[in-house]
Amino acid sequence: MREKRDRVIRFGMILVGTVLLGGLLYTVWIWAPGSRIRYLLLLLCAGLCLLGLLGNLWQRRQICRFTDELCGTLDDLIAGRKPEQYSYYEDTLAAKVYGKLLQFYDLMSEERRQSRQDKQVIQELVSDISHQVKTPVANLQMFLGILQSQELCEEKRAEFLEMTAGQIDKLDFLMQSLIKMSRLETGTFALHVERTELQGTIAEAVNVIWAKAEAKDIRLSVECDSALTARHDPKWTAEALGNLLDNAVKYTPKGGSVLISVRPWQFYTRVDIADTGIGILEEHCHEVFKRFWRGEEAASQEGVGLGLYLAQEIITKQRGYISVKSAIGKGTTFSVYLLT
Amino acid sequence: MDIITLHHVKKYYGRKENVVKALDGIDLTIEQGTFTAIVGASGSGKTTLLNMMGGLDVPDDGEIMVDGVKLSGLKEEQLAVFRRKKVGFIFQNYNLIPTLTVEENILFPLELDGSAPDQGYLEEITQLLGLKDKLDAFPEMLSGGGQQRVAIARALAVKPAILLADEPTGNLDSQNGQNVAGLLKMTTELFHRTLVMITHNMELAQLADRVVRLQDGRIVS
Repeated sequence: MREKRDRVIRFGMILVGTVLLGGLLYTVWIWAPGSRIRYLLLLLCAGLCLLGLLGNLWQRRQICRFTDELCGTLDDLIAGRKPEQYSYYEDTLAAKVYGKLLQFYDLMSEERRQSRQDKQVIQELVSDISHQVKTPVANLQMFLGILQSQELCEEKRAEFLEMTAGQIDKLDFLMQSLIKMSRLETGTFALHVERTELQGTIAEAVNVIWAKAEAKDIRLSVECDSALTARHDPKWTAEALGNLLDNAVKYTPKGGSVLISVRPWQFYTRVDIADTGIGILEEHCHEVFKRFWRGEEAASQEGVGLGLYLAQEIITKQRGYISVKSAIGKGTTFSVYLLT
Repeated sequence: MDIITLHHVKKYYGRKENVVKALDGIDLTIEQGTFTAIVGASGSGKTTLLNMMGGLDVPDDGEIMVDGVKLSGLKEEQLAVFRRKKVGFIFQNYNLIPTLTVEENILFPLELDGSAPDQGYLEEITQLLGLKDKLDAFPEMLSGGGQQRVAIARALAVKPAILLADEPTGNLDSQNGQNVAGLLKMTTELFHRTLVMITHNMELAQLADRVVRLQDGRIVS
């Protein structure tokens, strides 16, 4: 239907053009005095027509070339190659189209890269986990081997059973942390971020750590206005704060103190957890959040190196962030920024 | 994927005995989607380095590649298009246009480029940066932190490949500085942009994935 209409329009245009041209020629022939001027005018008319025709052809070629180049670029995109971008930074219409196509290409390759990276992360994770599981399992095998041998007195047997239980606890803790991590990362457990009071969340985090602090004679104090609110998921944020508190208590010597203070800002609400512990070297401040990272100073303490990693994951998932300030021997302050 | 690559970049000012080596052989690669902080004393060449990445300055020697394009191969007009399409700048003194409203300021780079605004995207940005109810205000009616948030929104509007921030918190007090730096980190992460930020403040540098230390025009760590 459309094709037919186009054909009619084109035919009509040619017809009208011919009639107009004929009329012009006739007028020139009738009115122009002298045959020389007549022929000159005819020549000029012919020249103009030729020019129009040539212009038309040239434009057509331009369009053909543009389409060819566009198709070439699209072929490149389909084949997954980066298109040549020779005219990308010129201020032309063609460059604009290329620009958009290149943007599209970048988007696609970014996605490809992301999926490659995800795969790599999984591989690293598997290797990390097997590394972490190896030692307790080897210990368990050893203890069981000893327990199976008959000539053990009752006292020794109880001792080895206790050590076995300790290793199982370690494995259990590792598994629990991994489950939390995978829930967060795969998104099977969505964070319910809502504007709620911070006090309850902090209280929940402190509850978990209270006994440990008591045992080490560490003074825990909280400065938080009961009206303060922040956008957060209470359950998971309590988990993150709990991890930070657990660290604070773990690395603070007997008789020290841990202070939790909250300051509301325009965009972020800042929760500081300040301890009087052993401190972190400045060059390690960045690394403490890495998965399975354990500082040399921390070697004397139990742990797998997932606490801070999990805490950061939880906070960044809520669009907040964590920063550290520390002085060796004086103490460390972890600041958690939650959107107000 | 490396989005910015600098190879043996040098920039000298002055001549003979008065020569100042602003950049003295910089080799640096920055990966796509990361947040890099550049720290160093004043006069260590931080701003010169940033200007080179954004095509605002040309090196005396060496090569700069941004998103697969060699900057030395571009003519002046092409550089202008490069900056418009690929780079978002955030300055210490905001550089907003005082006679335009907040919304017009944010849309300005899009208008220069002649491209249609992506409404959903812009709404998300203004929402995140807390500018939703200030779109009709003029920059001078906002606080320093507010103006810098407008500048961040403007830089993000064209969906640039790289964002370059030169002491974005330099004119702000520490509280507003943390606010702005946090928002900057959050938005660039959310939209997978690459961010390079100059700062004096080590606490802010900690937000970065990587810290580059400059001293006398050289990278020390």
